[in-house]
Parts: sequence; C-alpha cells; structure tokens
Amino acid sequence: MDNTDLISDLLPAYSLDCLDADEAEKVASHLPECSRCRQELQDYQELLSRMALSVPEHSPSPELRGKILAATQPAREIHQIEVKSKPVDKAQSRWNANYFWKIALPAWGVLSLIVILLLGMSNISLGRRLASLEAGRLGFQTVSLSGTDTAPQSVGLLVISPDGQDGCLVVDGMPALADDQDYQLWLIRDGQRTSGGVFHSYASGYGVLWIHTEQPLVSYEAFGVTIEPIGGSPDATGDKIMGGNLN
Amino acid sequence: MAKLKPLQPAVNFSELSDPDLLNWIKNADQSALGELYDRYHRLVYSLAYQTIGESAVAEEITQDVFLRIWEKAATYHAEQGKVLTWIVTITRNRAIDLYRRRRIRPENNPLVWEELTPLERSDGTNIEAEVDRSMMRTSIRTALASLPAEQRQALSLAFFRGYSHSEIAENLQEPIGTVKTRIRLAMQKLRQYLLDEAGLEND
Repeated sequence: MDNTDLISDLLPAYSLDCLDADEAEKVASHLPECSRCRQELQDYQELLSRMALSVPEHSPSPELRGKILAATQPAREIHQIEVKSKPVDKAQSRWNANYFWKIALPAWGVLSLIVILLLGMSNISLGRRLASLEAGRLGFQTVSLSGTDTAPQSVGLLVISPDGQDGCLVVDGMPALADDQDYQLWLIRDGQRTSGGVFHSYASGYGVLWIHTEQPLVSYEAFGVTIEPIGGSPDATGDKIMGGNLN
Repeated sequence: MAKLKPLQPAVNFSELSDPDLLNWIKNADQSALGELYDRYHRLVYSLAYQTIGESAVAEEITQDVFLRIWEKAATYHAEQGKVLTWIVTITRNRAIDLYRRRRIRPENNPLVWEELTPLERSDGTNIEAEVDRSMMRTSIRTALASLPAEQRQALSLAFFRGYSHSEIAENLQEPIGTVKTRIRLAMQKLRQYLLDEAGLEND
C-alpha cells in the first residue's frame, strides 16, 4: 500500500474533521502534492453536503429573512461591523449595544464616520494623521496601531472618548480570517492583557469595534490585536496583527 | 406631466447560478443575498436545528451563517467545491461549535439517522430546484438507510456532534479501531453510491 492509498483511507475521517491532530497533519501535508487525493476529498466534502439534505426539513420564522437583510444594510453603509459575541468571561470590558445606540451614537456615529472616511483615503498614513487631528480637536485621544511583520499592511486607529470610558477602533488592511476565527483587541497594562472585544472585518479588510470598559481606556499602556478562535480567547494565543502605545 | 417609467430590475437573480449570486453578494448586493437565502435557508436552519435541538438557537445560527456569507463571499472559490458544500461547511462548523460551547445535552436532540423518518413536504416556490433537491434528498436517505446500523450510528456522531474518533469510541464503548473502520467504510460506501448515481445520470 503506497502513501496515497494510506492517505486515501484517512480522507473520509479528515473530511468529517474527526482525525487526531497528527493524522490530520499527515493528510494536510500530502494534499498539495496529490491531485487524486484532492479530488477524492472534494467528493467527500460534497457527500457531506448531501448528508445535510437528509435531515427533516423545518423552516425558521418568516421574520428572519428581513432581520438578516436589515443587519447587512447599515453595516455596509457605514462599514460598521457587528460584534460577534460578548468578550470572554474573564475580561473586564463589555459591549453594551443599548448604551451606544441610546446615548453615545450621535457623537460617536459622526466621529466614527469621519475616522472611517479619512481612513478610507488612498493615503492611509495621511488619513490617520488627519483623523487624529480631527479627533483631538473634539477632545478625543487617539492611539495609532501599526501592523506587525505578520500583517505589515494592517493599520488601525483607536479613538478614546474624553472621559476615557469608551472607544472606537477602526482598522483597515486586515488579513483574511478562517471561518472559525475572529480578531480580538487586547488592552495591556503591567504586562497583563484584558480583552477589549472580538470582531471581524469585511472582505475589503475594513472593520470597526466599539469598546466600553469598566476601567478607563486611558489607564492602559498599550493595545494590540491578535487572531483568535471564534468568540475570542481568555488570553492571547494567536498571531499579533497590530499594536500601538498610548502616548 | 410626463409619466415616469417604472424602473426595471436589471438582473433576475432567481435565474442566476449559485456562484454568480455569490459574485453579486461580494459586491454588497442585498437582493442577491435575499435570493441565496430563499434557496438555502431551510437547509441551513434544518441542519442547525438537528444539531442543536432548539429553534431560537437554530435561528441564531442561520442568521450568523448568512451574515458570514455576506462578509466572506470573496473567499469562496468555485474550483474548491460547490456553493452548497461551502454553506454546509459553514453551518456545520458554527452549529457544532455552539453545541460544544453551550454543552447541550445529547438527549435533547436525537440523531436523525438512527431512525429515518418520512420526508416533509417543502413549501418552496422554485419547483425545478425543489424537484432536484428532493431527488438528491431521497437518494442520500436511501444510501444512508442501506448502511449497517452501527456504521450509521458512528457516522452520525461525527457528522452532527463533531466528535473525534476517540470521543465516538468512548460514547459507543467500542475500540477506537472499530470506530475508525465503521466511519471509513460508511463514507466510502456512500461516496461510491453517489458516484454510481452520477454515472447513471451521465449515461
């Protein structure tokens, strides 16, 4: 039995994602060099979609369609993204949608739009400088986040409200995520990291995260963004995408 | 005053293929997303419901899946598989992730392949697509029903629960080698069944 036959026997379980890590790695490293196995894997993946058709059919409530389409409308218009889930349990920061929509949106909405428009300029660094100037004029503090070697094209700007409790992170040029990943913002003080929330960006690499923390954002020394499993991690585990210090 | 001509829609989305719809979605076209939703929302919801067993959570997953499609349409590549396959992958990942994270008790949602129930009538309006899907559904259920019960049982734990070989072995109180063989044989047989079926269609 040659290697291809051995791998071929593992493909059904690989498509179902039920192999042990070492076996899965063997398959993953074999696939790029073997078109036969790639085709076979595609057959198994298609088989899984057929298996999904075998379940008894149910329908969601008729309102769901409108709800989903409504969720896409404002997001595309102002490039604001939905925060996928609450920050992880241990984190001290929290996302409170009602708070922002009822109290903070008017001022923040205008500000974020300014920031987004400026970040959208073809000259990103000039956009960031202009956004910082504009935010400073309004009494907001800003922190520039620069891409690491992992994602040198990524940029971000964190705008902090005058009382230091609220913030808005706008990012651009973010690397693509797998389906089971999110970005996570970290607030860093004395070497300790606290989650500032999880988010993802659009295919264009744009994203926005609203932040509301128990402790003032200005009490943190630095900010960083990593790639984490969907929903976020209690502490950073993935590659650091960008970071910046509070001056 | 001259009468204004009503605006004609430039594209009839219901006539587009799935990959073409995704191209429109990639360019932020909501009508295209609406059409894709009309085609696949029952499949996504039903699979989520089967995995989780709670309608509110299944709706949450359905919403999440279509918003993920909206955001990730650009990452779909036709050469890597069909749109249906891509959507099912996203749905299974999301549903299994929630199943594990929320520690849902297995007794709340019995595995569907343990007893293959009669199919419900669909309320779909696209008759041709419904007929196609209905035929595919019938053939996969026939193929699944032809498997030995113990193979079907191991396969359903992997498919709906996302269990690994060792978790399935523990759950069924069987040696891990036996579980591996059951899953491999079941999947190989189902694949062969579908290949034979495709061969017959092409003849």
